[in-house]
Amino acid sequence: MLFKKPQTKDADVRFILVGNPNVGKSTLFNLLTGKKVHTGNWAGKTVSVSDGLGIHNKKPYLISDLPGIASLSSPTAEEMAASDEIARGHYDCCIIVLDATQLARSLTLALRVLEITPRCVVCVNLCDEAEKKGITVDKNALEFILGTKVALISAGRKKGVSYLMDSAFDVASGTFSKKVFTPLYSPAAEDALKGISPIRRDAVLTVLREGRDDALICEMSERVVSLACKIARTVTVRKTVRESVDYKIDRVLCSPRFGIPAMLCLLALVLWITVSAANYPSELLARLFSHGDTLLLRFLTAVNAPAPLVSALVYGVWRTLSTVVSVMLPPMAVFFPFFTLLEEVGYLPRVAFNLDNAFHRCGSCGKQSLTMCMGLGCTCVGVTGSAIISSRRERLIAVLTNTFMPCNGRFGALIAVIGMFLASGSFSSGVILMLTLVFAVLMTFLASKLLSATILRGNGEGFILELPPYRRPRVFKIIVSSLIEKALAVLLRAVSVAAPAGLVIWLFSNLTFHGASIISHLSSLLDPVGQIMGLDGTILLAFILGFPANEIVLPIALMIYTGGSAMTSLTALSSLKILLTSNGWSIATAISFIIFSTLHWPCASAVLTIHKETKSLFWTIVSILLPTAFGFILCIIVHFAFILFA
Amino acid sequence: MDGRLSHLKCGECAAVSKINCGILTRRRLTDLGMICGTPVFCLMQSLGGGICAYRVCDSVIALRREDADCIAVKSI
Repeated sequence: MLFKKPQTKDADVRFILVGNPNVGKSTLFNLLTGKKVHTGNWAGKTVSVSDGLGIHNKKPYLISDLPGIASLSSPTAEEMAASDEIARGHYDCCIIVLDATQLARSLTLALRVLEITPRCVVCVNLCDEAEKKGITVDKNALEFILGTKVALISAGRKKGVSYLMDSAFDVASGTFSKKVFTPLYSPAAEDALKGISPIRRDAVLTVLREGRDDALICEMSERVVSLACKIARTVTVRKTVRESVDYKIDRVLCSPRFGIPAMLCLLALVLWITVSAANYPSELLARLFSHGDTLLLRFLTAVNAPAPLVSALVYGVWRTLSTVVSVMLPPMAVFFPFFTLLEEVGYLPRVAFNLDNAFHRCGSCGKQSLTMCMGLGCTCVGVTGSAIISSRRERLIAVLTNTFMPCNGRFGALIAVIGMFLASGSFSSGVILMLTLVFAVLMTFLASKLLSATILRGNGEGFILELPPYRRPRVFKIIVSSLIEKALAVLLRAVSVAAPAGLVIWLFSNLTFHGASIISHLSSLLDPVGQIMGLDGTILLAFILGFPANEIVLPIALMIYTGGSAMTSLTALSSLKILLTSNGWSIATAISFIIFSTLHWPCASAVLTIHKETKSLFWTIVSILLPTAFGFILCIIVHFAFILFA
Repeated sequence: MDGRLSHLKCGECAAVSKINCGILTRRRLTDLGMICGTPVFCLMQSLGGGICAYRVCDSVIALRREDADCIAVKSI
């Protein structure tokens, strides 16, 4: 039943997954198709439709994962697209996914969908979580009331899915057809519906999609909601009625006094573990690569390769690759699983709750903290994730300031520089890294405030944040799969971006023009600007050349310093420090580097994503200039502060 | 105690009597379970009181003070 590569691409059965946000559709989708769509315990994770192929009892099928919808009358583009899909009926069975821990809520949508779709199956997910909270759902009672097949599953633990797919195929092939469920409205409302269309399904759909007849919609909604509550109460059995654990945890994590300190402590802890856990693999990889270094050299001399080629391959490609993999990869690979764990548990909406006040005062909303958290992983993800913010103005603010949060690619350089110049051990490194992130957050507030006071003026719109129940994360599975996923992603980027970039830089470092290499010409050109920022021309040039991918900035700078040739391997932090200090680096330079690394233009893929998301050249340019201006000004201020006081 | 949702203190409960928010917000709230007569339980407030978490039906949602001001409640 689990994913095996289907033999044929043109499966002639299609299913769609429909449900509220955060009920586990994407987890189910991943399970059925073997894909790895991003999942997490907060509403709004999935923003676009994903298609995949699954196979059940040797029968292949197409399945689409739709974004979660709150109701069929919602105004956001994603929800409209989803309700269009359901209404169009170009599928053989619609699988409605419900959340056993919040049955009344997810039943509201289910009843709506049942009104307008002819072919569906109801699937109650998260049954394992419900069990832990002492909640059981009576499958037979629910089947009887709704008139459809009901499957109790737990997508995360892979239980019950076989019965679900059996039912789905039964409905698709017509061996099971349901009695249409119709909530009865008041006689006046029923007449109004009949007036719109004799076919009840079309009438309901028209009313909801047009959204004009407010009184009718209101009445229909209230009826559906109260029905859902009644049904949920009838089919659910709660064993214990004690104050839930969730509430106890939230009393601390969201409390006015402990909420934000708890956040900071958690962040410091995660970063400390990241830094110390990354140390050992870093050194291991460094040693591995320097062995490879000698082997490569030996091989190339043995085949009598010409000296420039040897230099290009060893110092251009190999060294860049080794710095990226041994310095950048380990911290990214350790931080990412932690972050994924927090996502799965459901902590992120609590962060939004705690920070909403601050964001509101800056003209934005607490959901921006969710996009910022995503931006910690990758700016592109944070930008596309801004779809969870319903107001266009606030969405733009989130997109434009997303790059202020240092993405994974910048983590490696930040940790390396902090470790070399500012901290003496992994604990202090972790604390300083946390302070850097706090700094990035404060700058985000400032930038948001600036934007909402100048070019993005407006008022906040109705803001509703859902705090989902905490879920027990599948710790081992998450750590292993996200570790592997991240390591592979970094390796892929290293090979496809870093290695060629290293080669190109090597070329420009060794091609001379009017007595000096192109690179040295460029870096002396940029030097005056760099100096007033407390950096130098080389670092600035490295940032510019690092536009394709942030992980290559530090390796490029190192390569330029060594002039494209190096006597010794440079992957140990101590030798890196010697190299940097001999090129004029000091604590002040390190601080300016950290500031500019946090506050500079977004990387190439981020710029493309921003353009795709905003569909405007103007805003894309703003997204490039805004962080750069901040970084530029702040570096100058810090540099002059150092001159005055040190 | 008749009044507004924003007047509810932590640990207090009341029943929704009327939602006076903008159309879109009202529909969203209805879909989340806030209809006339539903009991609403105030769980916790954030720093500054700008946003507050409420339990409605079986889910927990957080609303800003200005939106909670638009919801009229009466005591159960």
